[in-house]
Amino acid sequence: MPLDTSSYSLALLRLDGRRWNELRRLTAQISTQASADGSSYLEMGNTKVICTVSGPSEQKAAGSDRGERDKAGVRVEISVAGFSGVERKRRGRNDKRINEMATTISSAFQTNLFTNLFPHSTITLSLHLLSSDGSVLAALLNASTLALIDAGIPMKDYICACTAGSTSSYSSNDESADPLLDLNAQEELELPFLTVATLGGSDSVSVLVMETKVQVGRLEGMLAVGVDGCKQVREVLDEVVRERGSRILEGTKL
Amino acid sequence: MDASLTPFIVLAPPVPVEPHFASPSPNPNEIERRHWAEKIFDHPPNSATGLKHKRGPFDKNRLSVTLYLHAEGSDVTRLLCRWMDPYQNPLYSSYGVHELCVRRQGSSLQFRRWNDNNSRPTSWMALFFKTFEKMVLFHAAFVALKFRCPLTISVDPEDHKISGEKLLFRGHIVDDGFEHVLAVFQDKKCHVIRLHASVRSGELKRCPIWTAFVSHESEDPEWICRRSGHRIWLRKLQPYVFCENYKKKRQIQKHGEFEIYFVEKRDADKFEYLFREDGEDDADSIIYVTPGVPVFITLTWFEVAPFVLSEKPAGTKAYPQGHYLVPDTNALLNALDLFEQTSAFYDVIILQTVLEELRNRSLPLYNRLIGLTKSEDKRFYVFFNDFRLETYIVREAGESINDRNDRAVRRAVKWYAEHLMQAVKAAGGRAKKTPAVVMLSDDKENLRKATRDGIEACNLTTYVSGLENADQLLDMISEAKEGRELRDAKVVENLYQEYFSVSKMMTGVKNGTLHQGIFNVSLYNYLEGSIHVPAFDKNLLILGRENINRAVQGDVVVIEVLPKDQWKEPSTKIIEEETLNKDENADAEDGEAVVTERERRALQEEVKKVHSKSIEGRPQPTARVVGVVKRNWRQYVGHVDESSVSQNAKQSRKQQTVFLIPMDKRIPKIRVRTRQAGEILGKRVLVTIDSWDRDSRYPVGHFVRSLGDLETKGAETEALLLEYDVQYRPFPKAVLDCLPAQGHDWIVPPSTDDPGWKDRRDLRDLQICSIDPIGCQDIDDALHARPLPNGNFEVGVHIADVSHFVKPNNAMDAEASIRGTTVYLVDKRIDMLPMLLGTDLCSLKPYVERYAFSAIWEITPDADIVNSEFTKSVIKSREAFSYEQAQIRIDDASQQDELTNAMRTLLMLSKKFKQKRMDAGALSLSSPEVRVEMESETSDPIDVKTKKHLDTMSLVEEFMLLANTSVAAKIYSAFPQTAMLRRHGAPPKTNFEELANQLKVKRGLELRVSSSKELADSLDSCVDPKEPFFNTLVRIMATRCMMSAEYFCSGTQTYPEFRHYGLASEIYTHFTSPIRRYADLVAHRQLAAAIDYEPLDASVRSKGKLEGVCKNINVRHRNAQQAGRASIEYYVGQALKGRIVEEEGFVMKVFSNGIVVFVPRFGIESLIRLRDLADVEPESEFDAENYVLRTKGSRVVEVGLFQKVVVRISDIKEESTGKRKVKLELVKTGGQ
Repeated sequence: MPLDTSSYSLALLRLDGRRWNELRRLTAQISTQASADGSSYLEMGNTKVICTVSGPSEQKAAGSDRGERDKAGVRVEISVAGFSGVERKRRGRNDKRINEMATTISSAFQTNLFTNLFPHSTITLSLHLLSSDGSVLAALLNASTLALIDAGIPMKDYICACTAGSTSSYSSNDESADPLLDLNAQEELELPFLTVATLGGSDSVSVLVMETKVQVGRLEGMLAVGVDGCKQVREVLDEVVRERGSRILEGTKL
Repeated sequence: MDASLTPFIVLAPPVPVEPHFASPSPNPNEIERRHWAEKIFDHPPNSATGLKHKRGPFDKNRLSVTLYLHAEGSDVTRLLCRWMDPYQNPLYSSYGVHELCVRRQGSSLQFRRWNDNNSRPTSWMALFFKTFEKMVLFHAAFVALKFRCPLTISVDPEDHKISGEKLLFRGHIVDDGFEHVLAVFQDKKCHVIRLHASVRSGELKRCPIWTAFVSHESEDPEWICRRSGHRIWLRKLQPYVFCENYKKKRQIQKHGEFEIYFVEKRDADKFEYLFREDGEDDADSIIYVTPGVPVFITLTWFEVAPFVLSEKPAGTKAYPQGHYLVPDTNALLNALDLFEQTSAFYDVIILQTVLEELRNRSLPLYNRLIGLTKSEDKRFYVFFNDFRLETYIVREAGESINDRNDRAVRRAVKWYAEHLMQAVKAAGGRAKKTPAVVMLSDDKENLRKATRDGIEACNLTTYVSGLENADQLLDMISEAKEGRELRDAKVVENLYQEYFSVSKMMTGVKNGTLHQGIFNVSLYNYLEGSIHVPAFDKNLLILGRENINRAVQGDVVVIEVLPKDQWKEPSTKIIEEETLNKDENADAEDGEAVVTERERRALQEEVKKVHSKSIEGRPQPTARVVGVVKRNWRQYVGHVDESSVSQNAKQSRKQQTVFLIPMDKRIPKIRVRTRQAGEILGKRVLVTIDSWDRDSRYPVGHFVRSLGDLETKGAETEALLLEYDVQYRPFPKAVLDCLPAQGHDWIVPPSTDDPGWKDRRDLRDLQICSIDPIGCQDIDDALHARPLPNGNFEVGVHIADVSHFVKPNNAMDAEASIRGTTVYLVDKRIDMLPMLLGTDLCSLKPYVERYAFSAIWEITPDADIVNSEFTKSVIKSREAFSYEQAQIRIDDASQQDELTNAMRTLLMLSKKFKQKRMDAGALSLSSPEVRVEMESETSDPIDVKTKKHLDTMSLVEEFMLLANTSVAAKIYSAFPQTAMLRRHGAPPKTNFEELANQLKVKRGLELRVSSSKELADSLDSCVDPKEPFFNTLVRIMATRCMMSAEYFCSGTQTYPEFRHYGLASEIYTHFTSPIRRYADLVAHRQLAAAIDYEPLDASVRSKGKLEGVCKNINVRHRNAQQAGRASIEYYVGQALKGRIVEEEGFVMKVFSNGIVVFVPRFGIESLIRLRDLADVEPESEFDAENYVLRTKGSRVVEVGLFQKVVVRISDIKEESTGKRKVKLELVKTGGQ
């Protein structure tokens, strides 16, 4: 029952009642699967993602000889559940978009993890998208961060991601467009948006993906809002990790 | 300092009318006399530290804040805030400083109003600052004023702190003979350090005295100087003083050092330590601000959403304390017209739930409602109840969505009422005076539940009855709801079949068992509809009321094809609703049958006839409507059927049901309940259809407004405009604001260095002239031709450069794209662009310089194009000819000047071009064109003339076609996906079947339609040596078989589909009339981009957007044509008023009970019915194969198709309808 995006100007409320700078509800758990080396479950609004990490393990012999010898390689597999979207759709192994997301995630963590500590090995991230409602790449990145922390793989800082958009489409050429934080699927369909990930609370951007057209003048505002959102995401992720940590210390639950 | 951007402080007379603004550079004497507060912003601080803002640009220059001081110096200060609403009206709000508290929040100062009732401040306004320094100064000035205001009771300790600052030092000093407290603060975020002196003791304790910012100069070791144990000198310190009596001069030493005398020596030590370089261990806490620190976003904005609803809403009899209205969805659906009234319905709360439900039910109503919420004076507030915890409700199991929404509305109303009550109580008001929150609904169940829950609710009728002009308003309440309730009481058989369920229709359409299409009603027979569906070549027929099943012209319907034995021929009979059901009683609500006896008989006769000749007949598939996908009801113009108004009710105000006959014959009568029957009789009125239920023979609607008396020029013109959806309101201010500021004084800049001249070619020395109809003011094209040394000719077409004035994406562009085209009526022109542009600045008037867009060709004497180019230019037209003047000048051999010779060249070339076009298969079609001559004074029509064709007309036409075709090719090559083009599809052969057959049977002529060339040739051969007009008649009829040309975006069709059938051109666009057609304007922009004159705007580059534009202008174009024709038709009628003329006419169509005759002299086409032939309707025999109608008995006539007849033309006013009509009577067959 949401209002059309064109009515944003009525009350500056978005389709789901958020204001321009509000994140959706972001919740996460870690160590959800006992059998994996590291695992996490993350929800950003209605986008739901599971991540499991296995490794660092010995590099598979032939074929997957991707990384250099003295570093660990980061392998990312993404599977999208058929029921994740509005329409049931099977995505093949060679879906270009999914492959691109996998490469993006892999290269982001390749530089963020201290891979040089694990030569001749592979870290495999297996991501499952259970429900998709926008900001998919951001959710995958956040879930991966948590799972990698759970697996105890040393890293420089959290990689925190979120999306940022703009309130009117490219072709409307609206100069007074406002930036928006954390888009849902409906907004992504209509509006220009980018996915940005930063290293922890700093302003250094580690991932920046934008597939839509937008006037360059609006980009700065979008980016600033996105980076700001990443900081909020970090707070949440940090909370989850710390809570888990304190529980382990209490010995209540491993 | 930019006064409008930054808050400033002003001293003003006691009664502020025009505030006195502090001048930016006051003279020294004045400085002395001015209040300290005025001087605060005189000297900009040494440093400027940007504050971080999260939001992007807000509106600038919209806010000012002024401080008013009581003139007698009693220090009573008020803060006045002035801001602009979205419509540029200033709004004011003012409070005394003693009433306000101030808090810093990030980059803003929040001003709050102390609320005694709950002992908590409530927010009034927030001022956002560009720089930290200005915020501090404003804050300190405000606090000082508040301290000094005699009305202040106490100053909250939180007030004089600026949150976010860290105290680095505090000590006592002696300053200008007083003892003060000196503190050093540093902001935690932007690290600015400031010294702040305040009163140490007494009533004014902590009142700020001065403040000074410490910036990069403090790095200089000489900045701070310890003179003695107690004294410290600071260089270049710039204190801002907040006190009248404090003389900072007394502290300033001869070289400008500022002396600080510390009461205690250790304070001086500490202070020195803080700033000395050797205080290294403190370095972390002190970060000096240096200029040039990157500033994130530095903009000021202001956020006070002004209240929408008024504080004291109007009351009614039922709610004397005042009330806010909360309509539910069906109240809005039934009576949005009511809400648009200016006499009542103010202070309305629109709930989000309702808004969304309305959007799903009716988009036009939704848009109207959004318009209302934006209107300032109606005070409609949208409350987002689903986004609020207190008012959000979850749909329960088994609850329908409608019930859930109704419950949400009730919940919101209840919450609102409680919320108001609490607020009033908290403010100390009396509960009795609290405005009521009233739910408006027409849903009985909803009302019942509301009463049960103790919610104020009432239905529309009851509510409106309590208003002042109840009678007028009551009429506007939709009939639908009430009527249904009434009928529930009686047992009524349903007249029409029920529609299929949506899912059944959708599955049916998918399976191919049902079909979807747009329902069209025959112009001659209101009981016959046709529909084109993709599955059939031929249109499907829908015969009779039952099969039409409540579909109205234009609706998107789903149909079921009837079995083959029920297929029929299209009707050969004229059936008009007016005559058939003339005496029906509008009030009859029971015992109504869907098909009246007369209708049944009318149809039966036909069936019989079809049966008798089923062998030779060509039955068409028939169908029946099983559901309506989308109603395309709009507002209809019509008049009240006089016969349906009861005589005694004409004067009384008793409510009664009347019939409204729409102007459009294809729309059924509308049943309207009204109390003003007597008043609206004989007027043109606007009505809307509300519903058409199964148990009602006619749709039910309600009266919207009256346009004026029938047959008055104003009313009829407005009726036409409404009927064809022409936007005729004056241009709004936003559009006029886009015009050049110089107005009519605008000229082409004299200096060629001006940016307007950039990339423009100077063609002012060319002999250019324009040729247009007489009296043309919006001249969009001009021509020139000159011989070249090589024997070829240079020919130029110059088009008004509208795109220079109308930039994409501004209000004017938006308005023009909606209007799409200029509409020409006989006595009126409804412009697409404001007059200033259309008739002056863009118009290529003679003797003045104008911007133009030129297409220039080199053409051989055989009319072959050697090369072509396009350029923006500046031209000066030498003369504006009318077609006639130009023709005379060309024909006059004595005229041998350059201009005339150029025109002769053009004429010679144009004839060759035309010949080439004809050889390629271009059609010369025809439509009846007449011109109405008006009396110049009264503009009453006096005569009708057929248009003459002159050579000069085709001269202009040929070159315009040439320009259009070459531009089309150019923009298509530059933008293959998004070029704005125009195509004319080849008509399907079946369209011509009827005409070809008629020609064959009647004249033995053959019509070949396989290509446009074939068609053109065969049309040429359709001549009757005895009757020169016969050829034109055939052409007119052939034109009606054609498809209509349309604009499209090149990416949506394949290249072969681009073809313009009529012009036999591969590619075509409209380029030559940008003043009056939006498509041309788009083509201009694209051409400008194609020649690298300017970049293409994003909106013209997007295929989706362009498709939207094309769709709109196609509709507008068609409507404009129809409106123009209807206007001519009306004026022809007026010109013939009271005259009786005998004229020749031709039979265009033969029915079994009448003929259609076309009179070329007046361009009128009208029916002659059999029963009009004689007093007693003669018996007739209709030979459908030979298109001959023979009558026997009272009058013996034999008429066939294409036959020449003589008719007597007169006008009659039909008593039953009050409508003036042209009436034709058959005088004799054959020529005069």
